[in-house]
Amino acid sequence: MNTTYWSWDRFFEALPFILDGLGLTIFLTISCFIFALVFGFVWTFLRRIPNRPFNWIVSWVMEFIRTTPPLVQLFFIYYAWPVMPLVGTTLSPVQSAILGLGLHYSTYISEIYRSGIESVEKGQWEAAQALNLSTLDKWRKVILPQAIPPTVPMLGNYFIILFKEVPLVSTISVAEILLLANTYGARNWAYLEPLTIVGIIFLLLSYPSSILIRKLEDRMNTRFDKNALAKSS
Amino acid sequence: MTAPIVQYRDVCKSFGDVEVLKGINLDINPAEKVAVIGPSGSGKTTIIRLLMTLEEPTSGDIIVSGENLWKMEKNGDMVRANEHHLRKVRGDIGMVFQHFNLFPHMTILENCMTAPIHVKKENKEEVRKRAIEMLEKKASSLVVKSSVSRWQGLLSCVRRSCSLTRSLQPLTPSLSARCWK
Repeated sequence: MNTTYWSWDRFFEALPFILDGLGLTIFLTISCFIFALVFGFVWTFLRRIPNRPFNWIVSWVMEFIRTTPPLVQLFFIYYAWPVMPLVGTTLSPVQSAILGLGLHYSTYISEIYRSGIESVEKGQWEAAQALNLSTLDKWRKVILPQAIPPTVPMLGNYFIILFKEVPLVSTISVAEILLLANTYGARNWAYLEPLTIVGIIFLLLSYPSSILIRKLEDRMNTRFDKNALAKSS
Repeated sequence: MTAPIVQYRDVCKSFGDVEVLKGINLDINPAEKVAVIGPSGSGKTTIIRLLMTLEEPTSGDIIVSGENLWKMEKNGDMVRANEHHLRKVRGDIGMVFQHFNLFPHMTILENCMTAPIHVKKENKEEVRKRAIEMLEKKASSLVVKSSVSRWQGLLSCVRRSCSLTRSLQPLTPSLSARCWK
């Protein structure tokens, strides 16, 4: 029996070293997600401005962000942005990571918002108008409270996908768990245990979250089915 | 002889190639009740939607309490009304929709309270009291606190009363009182 492939000693030595980066991974996931949630709204409302050329530009920019790989965007923001004339500023690795992933995911999230807003019945818009609500109140009190809740499971799915994309930022030297595992591997010339640990950490966190999301989805479905049933009667 | 409160002057409305209203002239006096009767597709709903400013007439004028709904004066000319003008004239018009269009994420009471609180900036407690009073009178005390899923199953006449209450709430008290008779 050759036991040099897997060593539990190494496993337990690497574990605390890698877990050090877990906080940063979670922090990045949450910050990127919040950034994406906020910016998603910005995209959604920019696209609703009734001006054809402006609309065309916004859609094109969104399409560009969505169809280029996030890794390229991260590299661009971290390595190329600082040397841009006039607008270029140096961003820390963590800032670049939040900006890069957040911006990329905001375009997806904007689509989710849009689908939610479009699913609000025309009669609701008209009722809000007939009651003479201001534009702000119409959105705040009538449209968004109906548009956003049904999209929560979809948003949750994107949260998990985003979580799994965070290791990308190890390429711009953010010390999250994958980078630490790599560092440990390079230092001790042993990659099996640290990378296994990273896999386990992701499994342990994303699997329960995905179950949670599925439950949420079920609950939403029953709730909205009930509504649909009652509406048809 | 009082002046009519609502006047339609040669109002035409087309949806694309379909001409729905071909020059409507109509005067409605204060406190007058008017029924518009006609086969489906004849434009009854369009007449009321034009009054609620949900549709813009293709030509002609609609005048409510002396104010032209879709035109306003600017530098001596009559120009197309902007949102500000529309919001001003819409303040004293209420409408019950064919499908009521109550807000499903609110209770019936909240439905009736939204406009007075947010549009008229009225005191929340007063609005609540008034809304409850109206709902109890017109619908039933049972519906006041009930939520979406409950009222979805309510009889449509009850839902209509709720919708009526909601549309009357933001109007000026004298106007809304007249509608209760």
